[in-house]
Amino acid sequence: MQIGNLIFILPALCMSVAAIIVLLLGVVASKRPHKGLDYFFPAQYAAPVFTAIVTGIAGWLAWTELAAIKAGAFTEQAVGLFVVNGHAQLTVDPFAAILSFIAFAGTLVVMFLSQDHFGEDMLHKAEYYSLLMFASVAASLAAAASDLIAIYLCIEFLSLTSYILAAFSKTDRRSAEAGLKYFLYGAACSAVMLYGMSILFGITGGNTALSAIAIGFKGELANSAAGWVAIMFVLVGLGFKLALVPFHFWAPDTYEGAPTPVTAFLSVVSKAAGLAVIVRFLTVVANPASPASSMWYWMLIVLTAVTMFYGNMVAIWQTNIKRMLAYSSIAQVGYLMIGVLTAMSSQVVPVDSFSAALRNNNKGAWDLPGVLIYMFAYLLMNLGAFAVVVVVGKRLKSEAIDSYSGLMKCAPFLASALAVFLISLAGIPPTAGFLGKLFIFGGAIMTGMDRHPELIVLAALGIINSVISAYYYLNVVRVMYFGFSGEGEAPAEPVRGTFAMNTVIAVMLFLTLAMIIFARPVSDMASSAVYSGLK
Amino acid sequence: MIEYAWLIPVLPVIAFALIIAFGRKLHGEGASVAIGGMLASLVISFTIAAQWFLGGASKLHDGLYSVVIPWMPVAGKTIDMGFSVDALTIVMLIVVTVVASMIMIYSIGYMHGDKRYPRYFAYLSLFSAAMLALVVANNILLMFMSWELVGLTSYLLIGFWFEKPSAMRACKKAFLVTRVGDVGFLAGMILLYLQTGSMNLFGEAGVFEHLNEIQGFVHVGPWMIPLIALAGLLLFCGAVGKSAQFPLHVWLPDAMEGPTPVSALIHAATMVAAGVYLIARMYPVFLADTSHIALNVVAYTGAFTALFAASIGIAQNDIKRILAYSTVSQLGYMVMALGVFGYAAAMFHLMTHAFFKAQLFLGSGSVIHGTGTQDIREMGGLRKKMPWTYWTFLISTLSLCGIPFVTAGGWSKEEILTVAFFTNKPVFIAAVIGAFTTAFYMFRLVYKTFHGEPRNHEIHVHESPKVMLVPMVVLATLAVVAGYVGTPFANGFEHNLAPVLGEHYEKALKTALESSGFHAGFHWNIFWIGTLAALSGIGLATIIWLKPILKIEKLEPAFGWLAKIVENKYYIDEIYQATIIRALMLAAAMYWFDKWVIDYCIVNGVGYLSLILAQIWGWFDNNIIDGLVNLSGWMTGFGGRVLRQFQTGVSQQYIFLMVVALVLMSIVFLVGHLSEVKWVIGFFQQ
Repeated sequence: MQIGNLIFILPALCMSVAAIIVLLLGVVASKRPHKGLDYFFPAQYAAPVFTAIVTGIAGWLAWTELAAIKAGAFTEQAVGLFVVNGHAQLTVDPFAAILSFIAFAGTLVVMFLSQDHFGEDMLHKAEYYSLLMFASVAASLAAAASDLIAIYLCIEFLSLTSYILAAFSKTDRRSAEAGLKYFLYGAACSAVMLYGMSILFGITGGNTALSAIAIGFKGELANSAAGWVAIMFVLVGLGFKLALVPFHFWAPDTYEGAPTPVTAFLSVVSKAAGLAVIVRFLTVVANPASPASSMWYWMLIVLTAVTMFYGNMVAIWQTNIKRMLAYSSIAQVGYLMIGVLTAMSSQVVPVDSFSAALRNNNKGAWDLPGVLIYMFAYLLMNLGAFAVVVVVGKRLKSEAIDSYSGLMKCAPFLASALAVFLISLAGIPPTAGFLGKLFIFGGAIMTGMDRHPELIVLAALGIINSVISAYYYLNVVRVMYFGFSGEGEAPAEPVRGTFAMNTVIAVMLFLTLAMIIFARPVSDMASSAVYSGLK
Repeated sequence: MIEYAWLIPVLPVIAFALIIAFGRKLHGEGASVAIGGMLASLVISFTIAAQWFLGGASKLHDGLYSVVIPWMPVAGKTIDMGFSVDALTIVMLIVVTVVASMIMIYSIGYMHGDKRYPRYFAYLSLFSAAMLALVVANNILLMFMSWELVGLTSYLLIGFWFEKPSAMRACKKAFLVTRVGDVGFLAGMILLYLQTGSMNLFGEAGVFEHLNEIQGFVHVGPWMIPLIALAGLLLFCGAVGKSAQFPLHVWLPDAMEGPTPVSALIHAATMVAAGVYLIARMYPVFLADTSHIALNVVAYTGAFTALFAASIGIAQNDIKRILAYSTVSQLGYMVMALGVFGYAAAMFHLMTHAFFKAQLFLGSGSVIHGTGTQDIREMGGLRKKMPWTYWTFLISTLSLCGIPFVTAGGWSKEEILTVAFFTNKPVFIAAVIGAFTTAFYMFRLVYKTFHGEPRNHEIHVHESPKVMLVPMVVLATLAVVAGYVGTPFANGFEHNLAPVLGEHYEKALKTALESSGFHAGFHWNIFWIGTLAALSGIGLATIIWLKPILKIEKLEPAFGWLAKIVENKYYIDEIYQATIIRALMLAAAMYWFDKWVIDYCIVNGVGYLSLILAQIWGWFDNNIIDGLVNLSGWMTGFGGRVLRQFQTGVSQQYIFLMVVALVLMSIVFLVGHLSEVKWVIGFFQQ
């Protein structure tokens, strides 16, 4: 291993150091609150500054890798870290680099949300922000993890920090309950996943690296019951992170109970990490030449369809906007999974590694680039919606959809921003969400026309679900603009966000609307990020 | 400046966004922003026009400035966005920006005190932006998107006073009827894309370069229609809807329910002109069809519409409806001109018509503003009370009638007649009769509105404020001077417009014209025919309504009973109508035809059919669908209850459920692969 390679995890390293600094700041500040060091470097300001710098580094890294691909100077081997016997434990290819950028950017937005949500006089603020930073480090590394141990450590690191974050409002009984439930469910899933990994380790002859497992995991072995059990158990753990039905039970309770910024974090950053891992894991072990993988494939198709329907059917009936967004984020993962499954279906021959799997795809296919684009769009629109919910929720002391009645009158900017974010979540043009769905569904249909009819059905179900989701997303817009019952009991006081929050919302609003204009560069970037192996 | 042409549609969009966001907080409650944006677009348009025609930019860019930006990858190809500037674009840009800005200024006065005042200007800006985007687009997809946006915003504008049920119905009707045509446009667009592999209009890979490759035929019954002709016909469907050609013209008269400035904008210069612009822009498609099937359909549809709508105009009493039918008729003229190879003539008439018809609508708005009624039977003698309105209205009317030498409309009508004379005699005759009828009903309108004695003394007439008069004066001026760019003696208009088609199709157009014996220039015989038609129309109107030679008393015995019933003098015009009913029989028949055959039999027939279907559907709905809905509602409710059972909040149960799911999935897998079941059984047997 070369020391120079560490530059690829520079953002994660910097973030870890910064998190420790913030933690130390907290220790010092706890002696003299609001004075001395805490006066000049309060954790709630230091943390976003550090995160912004790290986000910049992550963006620069992703950009450099993309530039290298363009110049033809990129090799997959070059970005492997901690290589043992030719198998890297972390592979920071542009796919990982972009997802880790998304994770850091998401964390940055969540920090702004937290500032507004908790206010100045938050208890244990240094601990809170450093936990957020550690969680983002875990998410960033999970995006690059290409080894069972690395995957397990990253997922577990992310989960542990998330448990504490979910339970952070100690005085709130619901928050504590959310954290505890999340922890119990997560621990069980984690145990199942670890068991599956150990089986996989055993039957492939003591390999932990995914690329090594892929070599050993074929033929009889892949068809054996042990192989199935191993993969199913691992998928339980990943399904838990993504809140796929039927491993979603923790999600509604935790999302509702956790502080809103943490809910936003869990629904975006944590899912980005889970998605990266499942993409890497599936494209390695999936091997459609054997009946076992096609069974996996079908099982996941059914789960994806059920997930979409479940998320939307339950979201329709919610009267609490936070809970509605939580359920709808379950459905959103279903859309993302369509892209993952499209990528999986394209592998027609046994493959050796992640990038080799992608090599078999047609260049210009939309599946994984679509996932990247939709993930980014999802970051913008979901965090945007949560940002408005945080601001409005704090001012109105309510998260009920009814209380948004007539919001257009007292908070025109926030209401129109929320309207755009929700329209984007519903996938209506000309928003970022539309572009993402266009790529994901379009990719599924294009691949589906080439001997995969099930993908067309899945895309059709996705479109039907988008229509269902439009009902409850637009219902909020209707309530905001036309009042819930007739005139509506509009709040007398105008609702205004802080300058920082308004800026954050405005930036995300701009990007949500502007993304479709830059469809070409965005899709080019996403394609070259995924098809790096081709060069 | 040409490279900034994209700003022209973008500025009104920004104005729209600002007004929607800030509304009444803006200066002038949003009106200033809308007008500012529009005037900025106007300045850019004029600068570009000056550079293009006078500054030699046309030669510099070889007649076409086009910018293409790759936008979105689709199935291995790229959909582009972009804008182009050529003579056709510039003409449209000037027409739209001039008329739109004048109408916005006028609206300050007309819409004063409306409760949705800022929103009105926001819609107006968005509408203009859509129209301008349609004009500068160099890509069929972008054209279609703007085209639809024009339709959507016109829906918002026509139904602006949505409290009125009639306005609600009108905007729905406009939206739906034009949508029928849009389906044709969409199909034509897809056909062209499939055949040429491009959405771009210009350039090496563009649609126009590959039109010769479209060779196939479509069999429709016994006929064989070339594919290219089909493409032309489909595109023409779009134009029929938007430009209110027969039989899709029914939306336009109803659309008068919108505020009058909206009528002026939509029904004079922009939306209805969009269809004509579409044919002109896609003219190479029509010329590439050497059988000229599509062009003949265009010509006869236009000629029939021109005649048909003009005759209906005679029998109307609503000032805006008369103008609406007049618009339909004039659009028929333009479409007809395009059909008989009068490419430049049609665009020239589009331009002059935009100015004088916008002025006429604004004038009628001023009359309505001053009198509070739209019924010309209630008016009369407004000449003295509203001098400015009267004189500007009269100038535009003369322009519409095509009085030669002094008015713009005279020059453009002359040009259309000249082309039609050589290329298609039946169309020429229809055009001449149309010119006569137009002059007749327009002067009926003028006499009844402005001349004679006031018929309703309860109406207190007042002249409109200056902010409304200035745009009217500007447009009336343009209705006179705009014609001098295209006189037959020195036709700068045609000279500049013809190269837009490109070398190949310009030659094709020239060949088609020359083969019919056409030669440009001034023709005395055609001049006299056209002039006499217009003058005799005016003369007939004069002897009936201004100096009644056809005295009512002489005809009274025959209709005495009628006269007794209608003694009230406000209804004297009803008797006029009844007495000269023989002369107007044709008009009445046409109106009857329109009202009963088109509106009643076809539209209502379809409506009735759909009513029956609706009843069947209703039964189906009540019994089957509602059942299903109730079932699904019950199931969702039930499902919700069931799911709530699962979502107990008890962690132990959650984990238990996860394990159950895991076991179930395992069983599914093992059953799905029986050899494995054997393996498991074998495992236990050991």
